[in-house]
Amino acid sequence: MPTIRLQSSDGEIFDTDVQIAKCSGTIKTMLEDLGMDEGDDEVVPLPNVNSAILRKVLQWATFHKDDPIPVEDDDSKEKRTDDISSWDADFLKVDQGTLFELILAANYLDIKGLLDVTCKTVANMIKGKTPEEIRKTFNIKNDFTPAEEEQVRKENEWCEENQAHARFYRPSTRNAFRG
Amino acid sequence: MSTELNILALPSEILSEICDKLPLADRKTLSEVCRRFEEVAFQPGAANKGVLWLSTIITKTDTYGNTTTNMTVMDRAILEQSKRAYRVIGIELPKQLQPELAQQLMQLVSLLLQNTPAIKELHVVDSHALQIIQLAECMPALFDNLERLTVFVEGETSAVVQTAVLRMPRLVHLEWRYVAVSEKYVGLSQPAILLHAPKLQHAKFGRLCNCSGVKFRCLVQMETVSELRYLEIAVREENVNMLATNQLPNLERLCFFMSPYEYVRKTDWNRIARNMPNLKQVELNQEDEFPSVNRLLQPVLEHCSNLQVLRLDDIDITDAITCNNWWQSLEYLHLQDCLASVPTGQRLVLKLNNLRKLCLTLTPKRGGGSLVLEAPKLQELTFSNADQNLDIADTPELTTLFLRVPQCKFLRFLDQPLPKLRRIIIDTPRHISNEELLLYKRAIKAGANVQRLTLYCRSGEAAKHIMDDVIATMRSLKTIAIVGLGNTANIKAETLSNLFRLPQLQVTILCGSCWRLFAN
Repeated sequence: MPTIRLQSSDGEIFDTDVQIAKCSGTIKTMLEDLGMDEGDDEVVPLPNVNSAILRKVLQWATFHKDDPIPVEDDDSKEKRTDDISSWDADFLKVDQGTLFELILAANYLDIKGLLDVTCKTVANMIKGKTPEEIRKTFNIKNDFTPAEEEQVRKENEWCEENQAHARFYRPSTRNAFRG
Repeated sequence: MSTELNILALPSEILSEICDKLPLADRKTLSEVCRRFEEVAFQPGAANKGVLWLSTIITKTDTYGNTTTNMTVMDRAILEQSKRAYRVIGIELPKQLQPELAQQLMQLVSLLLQNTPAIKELHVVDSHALQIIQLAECMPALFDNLERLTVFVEGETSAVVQTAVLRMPRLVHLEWRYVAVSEKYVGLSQPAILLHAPKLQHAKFGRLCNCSGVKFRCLVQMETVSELRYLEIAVREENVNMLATNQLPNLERLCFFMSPYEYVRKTDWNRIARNMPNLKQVELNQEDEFPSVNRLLQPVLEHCSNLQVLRLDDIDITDAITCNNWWQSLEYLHLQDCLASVPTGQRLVLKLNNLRKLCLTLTPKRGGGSLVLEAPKLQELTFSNADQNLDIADTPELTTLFLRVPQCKFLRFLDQPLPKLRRIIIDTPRHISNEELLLYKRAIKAGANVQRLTLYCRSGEAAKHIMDDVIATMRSLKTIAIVGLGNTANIKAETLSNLFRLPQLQVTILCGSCWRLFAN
């Protein structure tokens, strides 16, 4: 199986299966567009990713190498965040710093699946919390003046989701279950 | 690592990506956390849709039962101080838009357009007085640039509207939902609105509610249809003529609500199907009391060779299933309340060679013969309340199975091992017969490689019998969710403790009386 040599920012070299490395849009482009041949023993430098993170990224890519390409849904319906597979959930049981570095690496390397699942994980950390709980969770300082905070709250009052939709919702007349 | 990376160190495009995955309620909360989040929480993004309502109507009922409605318009000062970039605005209209209210709304809209000229989406809640026409006259700057419009029409009114022209030269996406239609509209032959929107790609005219059996006036008629990619429409005379006389070369999805009127019989349905050569998804709904023949079904199957998705509701498919050739391009088939008759003593085989997903809900069948569906590439099967003479042949590729009250005796596919089956959702009825229980047991037996199991227990009986089989067979189970309506308590304590001992297993139990479960 053809391999490729990836070099992390701190100099460590990872001999990687080409198929796995190509999960990354960035590496795929380097290989295909820039004419880096698979046979060459050349090293691909990845100056934005350190070895600890690159190791995790490659671990993720190895597990997901046979995943089907996700289908783009053209409906602009709300995206789900509760569909993280148990392997991914386990894989992402890391400290916040590592999680954010994985996000940055996924973004730089252009690995859509990894970016998606890491962003979902962060979204899940936000869901259902109060502003104060979010500040505590992520160690964020409240930098609003009281007047600004009031203004934000007022604007939010007028920004309602499905205000009209809710009134127009009619449950289906047909009872599908005839058990 | 000495200093851990903080979430605020992430670039804005990633923070927006995270916000895109949050519902509006959480994005609102997030905007109250700190300045940085306030900036990103409402940044325009693909799914980042929060409607800014400029007006709302509040209806109050006093102790004597009298109702008063009041329109409240957003305070100008809030908007003046706002730094947010709103993408979508909403306006709720009274039955009569008074000049001073129109003036207030106009001021708010021009203020918004100064800050964000990119407002291209509008939601309007309207009554049958169709004040949206007046609104469009007041705000040409807004309507000229609109790309998406959603209109909700509600209530009854005595106002009779002459045909008005609504011009939206950039409109791409239109959704029109009505609830109840005033009697005043019945029988009027002219449409209320003539829509001039040459770039329209997505048009959804919701189905009329509470009005079956009456012929209603057409509310919106489109001037041009050549760019349409998606069309959802209830069949009225004007619409049928429009489809028969125009080419729709770009139409990919069609959703049709068909009524049993005279004009439906006179139409050249073959011509309509030929006018849509690129159709990929079709949804046909018959609005009769009982399943009946849909006149567009056969023409569509015959002429639209790219058809991949077909969804039928309340339709008699007896004639259509006699021609195997028509069904070959389909990848996803959904049959709800459909009728397929096979004469007694006969056996009809319908080959669905490319089908990946099949959904059968309530498919009653007349005639004593049996119908066999052959779908060798099937990956996902939803099977619910179907007739007992329906059978499904081998499905070696099946990955997901949803089984609910199967009254079928056969279901041959369950007798073969399903090596790729990873997910089973079982919904058990309140009263389960031994025959039915046996079917569920066969499904479990076939699913030795299942990793995810969801079990809906409408009665404790089913759960009690099924759980032991689950533990004995499904050794690779990783997650199990039991949704019980207070009935899970009937599962034997011993069974449950065995369940919890399975390695790697995540158990979710959703039921009204969990404590009973653990008390055992």
